[in-house]
Amino acid sequence: MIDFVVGEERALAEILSAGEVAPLLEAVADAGASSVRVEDGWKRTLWAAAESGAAEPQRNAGEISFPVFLEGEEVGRVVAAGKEGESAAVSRAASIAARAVTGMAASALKRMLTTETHVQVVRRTHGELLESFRRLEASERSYRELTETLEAKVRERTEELKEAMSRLLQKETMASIGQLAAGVAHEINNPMGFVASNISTLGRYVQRLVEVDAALEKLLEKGAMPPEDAENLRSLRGRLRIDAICRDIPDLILQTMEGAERVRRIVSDLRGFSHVNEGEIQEVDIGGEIERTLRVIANEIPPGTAVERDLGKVPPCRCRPGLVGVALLHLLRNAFQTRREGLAVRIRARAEGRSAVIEVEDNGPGIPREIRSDIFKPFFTTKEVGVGKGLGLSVAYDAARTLGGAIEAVCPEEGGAVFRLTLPLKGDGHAEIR
Amino acid sequence: MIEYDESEKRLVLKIVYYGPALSGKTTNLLRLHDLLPKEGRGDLMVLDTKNDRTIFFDLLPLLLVAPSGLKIKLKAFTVPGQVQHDQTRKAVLQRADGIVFVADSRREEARNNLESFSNLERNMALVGLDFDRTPLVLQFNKRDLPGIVPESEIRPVWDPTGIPVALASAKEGWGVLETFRRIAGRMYDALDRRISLRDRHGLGREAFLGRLAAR
Repeated sequence: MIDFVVGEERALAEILSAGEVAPLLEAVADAGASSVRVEDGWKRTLWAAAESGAAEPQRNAGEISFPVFLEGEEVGRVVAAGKEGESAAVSRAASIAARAVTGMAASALKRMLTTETHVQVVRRTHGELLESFRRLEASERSYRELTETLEAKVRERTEELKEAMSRLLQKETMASIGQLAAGVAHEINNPMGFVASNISTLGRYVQRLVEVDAALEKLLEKGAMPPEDAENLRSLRGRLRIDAICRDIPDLILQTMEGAERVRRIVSDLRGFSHVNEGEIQEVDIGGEIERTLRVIANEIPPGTAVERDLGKVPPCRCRPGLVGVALLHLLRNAFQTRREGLAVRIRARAEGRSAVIEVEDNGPGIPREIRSDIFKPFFTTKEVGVGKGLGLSVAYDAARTLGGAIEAVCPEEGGAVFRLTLPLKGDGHAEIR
Repeated sequence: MIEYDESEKRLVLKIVYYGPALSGKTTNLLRLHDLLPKEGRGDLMVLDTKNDRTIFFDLLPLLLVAPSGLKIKLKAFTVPGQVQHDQTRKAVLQRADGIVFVADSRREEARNNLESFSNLERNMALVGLDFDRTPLVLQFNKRDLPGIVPESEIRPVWDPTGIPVALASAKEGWGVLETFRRIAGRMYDALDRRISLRDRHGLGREAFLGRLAAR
């Protein structure tokens, strides 16, 4: 739609209608005009009185005309011809008619301009209202969307808070377990000291007795005893199976010694693992930590499992050893639980840039795609109810984060799963801040 | 430009008197109507008003014929100054060839002047008029009243902008014709560049001004 421009030129014919002009022309005719008409600026007849009828009226010398103005400009004329003797009256009437047409044109133009301006203003205002309505709608829509996402955000945050709470709880649990372990280790260590030392002494003592027995037997063979006594002694030795005992004793002692040593080592590992002095940042040997963790959970490794180590040269990590142990423990335990038979676990450690990278790879069933984003969430477990608490990986994840590192799970095409623990070598992450 | 028809030998131009409410735009046209000889002008058309306030616009048509026979019609309009009539102002402003901004010289009106001037700049952009290329004259009206900003304060602000400043009292009738001559002169310069008024129509600057705004 082409906008109306205020000031646009208007032709007389646009402004006035035949019906408006007709009474004036009739009045001129009544005054005695033989013909009367209104012409435009190009002398084209716009309107004519009824009785002058003809579309192209004859022009004759007796015609008189008076100008019609619009906006100060002559835009046409009222042309009239008088009958014989009526020319003065016709001239007066035509002059009045011309002024009347000018006046009518002026007020009609006024009305037209007013109306057109008004219509344009209303249309534009309406357009602007529609536009602002659309904007309001859009903004309302965006607010509504915001509200909806806000709810989702709140839910998300609440979930995170819940997770953080449970991790905190788990941490405290771990800490008290650590203290308990440290206490138990201390209590066991003292008696184990006696046991180990006494067995060692006992071993030496028994060795002496075995020597005495051997000497006794030599005497028996020489026949240095009365035959009856020798027979009794032989039967006694046979009944008591002294020969077998003497052969068995070194093994027994050795095995007991080994058992005691194992107890000692487990206790020592338990102490080290529980890290009562967890708060202190130390230089941690990643390889050593892996070995120790493996020993701690040795009883959890399914029989027949192939554990392969590929521990490259990793500079010591400056961090809190307890957390490293926690992360490793849960990653290894997770790997050892992936299958009961034919399990192969590969543990790799290497330095990559300024990080230590530890990978635990298993040949288990892998992680279904749909739960990959959930595995590090607390209480998420694929195990049966009552078997897994769903905390292991979340605790490992949290420990790694606290150390300024990260854990990610990778599922290779060929199956199984690789958990990659990355730790900063300098320990410059969150560990210092927290 | 409202219309330019070479074959019809017709040129219709538009001047718009813009400014805040009650700064004297209609009074400018009334005085102009009184000051200009009857031959060169039409009657002042005042569209329906309410309490003497313009709500549509006023229109004063002016006429002249160039030696080439080119009929030049110049329509001077006022806009309603009141804030709520912004759409009408936009409608009137469309295709303007020259703008007279009528400011109220009184100190307390400075803020209204400024707001109206910003409104002019905004509306010019909205109707597609280039502010830097549209002839504009600034009239400080109501110089007859007390409490007006003195010329010594006006000049340093406006002279550097290149916008001509005219001082007037439309009520007393002085400065109105001068303002009109200033804007007409600027419009002539712009028109001459576009349609060669002098070379093709034999109409020089002085003749243009003389016929349009003879005293």
